[in-house]
Amino acid sequence: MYWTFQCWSAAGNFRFDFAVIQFVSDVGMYILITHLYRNFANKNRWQNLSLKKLIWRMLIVIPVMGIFYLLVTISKLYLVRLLFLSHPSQSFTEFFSINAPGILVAGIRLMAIWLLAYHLYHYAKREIRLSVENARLELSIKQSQLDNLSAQLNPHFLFNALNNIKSLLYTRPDAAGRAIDLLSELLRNGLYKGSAMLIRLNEEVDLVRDYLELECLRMEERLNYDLDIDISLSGLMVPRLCIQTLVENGVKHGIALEKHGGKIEVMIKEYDGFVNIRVLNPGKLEQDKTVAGIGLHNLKERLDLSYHHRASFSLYEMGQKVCSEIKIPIR
Amino acid sequence: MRNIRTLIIDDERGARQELRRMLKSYPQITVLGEAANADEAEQLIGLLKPELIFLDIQMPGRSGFDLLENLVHVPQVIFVTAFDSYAVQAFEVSDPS
Repeated sequence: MYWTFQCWSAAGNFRFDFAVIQFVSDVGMYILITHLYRNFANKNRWQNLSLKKLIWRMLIVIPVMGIFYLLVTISKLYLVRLLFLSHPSQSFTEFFSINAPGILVAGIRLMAIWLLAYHLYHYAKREIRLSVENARLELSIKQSQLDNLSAQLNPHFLFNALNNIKSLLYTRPDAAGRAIDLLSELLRNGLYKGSAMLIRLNEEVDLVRDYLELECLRMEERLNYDLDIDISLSGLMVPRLCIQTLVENGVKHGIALEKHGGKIEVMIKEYDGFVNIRVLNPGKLEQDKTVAGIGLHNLKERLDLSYHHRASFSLYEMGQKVCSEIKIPIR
Repeated sequence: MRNIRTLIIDDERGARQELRRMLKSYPQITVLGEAANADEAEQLIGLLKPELIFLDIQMPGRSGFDLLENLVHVPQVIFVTAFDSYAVQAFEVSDPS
């Protein structure tokens, strides 16, 4: 704006109505130019670029925008002159050659300031968003570790397991020994396995197997299980405890409520670029899922944060069974 | 010596077995039988009319508390549970008033 006025006072005769017209049309045009640029940047997702890549692009964009500014401004100035100034002025080429360098320099300066402010604002916004997401994810992982640990240290599970071991001691000493091994393994996993948020699929499956074997020693013929796992997926990284959470839920809210028990089925398959983890247990979905809610809610949140909403979790009835299903994209 | 006729009610076979083993040290207690859920227990209690039952609380189907509410003949009850929160509830149920 300053430059526009400069231009006119330099020309000699400053008129107020003129200045107003120039001002309004300037504002309108520059909003239009920057808005077009914004659309272009949005379309090409420049907001998501790293700072280095962005600076590189700015070196090209700033002069280009400067030239745009020049063309639009000078055409407009000339047009306004032609329309409102009574005495005829210089030809366009003459007008252009006199004013172009000054306007171009002004354009580059203005555009550089605007572009930097625009992108720095978005960059800062993105950084803040990312750090908030990371913090939430970290918290969520800690929460699930705590949940798992308290599930294993919870008096009911622990005392039941110990009580069971005691009764096995007299009847099946070998099984009692095995039960102690399994219980130690589960506790060790909860207590010492560090804070890594992802774990190899086969390690997660081992944990699930230990848990099921221990529960089998206690529930005997009431609990059966069947693991159907595509071995080629063993090395895939999955969120810690994602399958364990589902299986534990299946035992607690499915098997334990059925008089004759039933079967826990775990199926892990690759399908259409996703690894598909399904846990089936007999029973019906409880309407008031407040008990099951916490662990599953946490699992869903961890999946959303870790895979940016590309992974999914669902819980549904299928025939006489409840199916909990996780889909994780394979990178 | 007085003979106490008893029933053990627990959904886990291991737990019933262990209780039976521990009760062997008390010759005055006679274990009449075992039940693995509330329905079986209701039948057995009606049939055998025990004086005492050892009762688990969380079982598939109806819980131990549900069972007590439906009994015509109510024996003395010893609750057997790993849920600490049930302990308080057990005292409330056992209050004869």
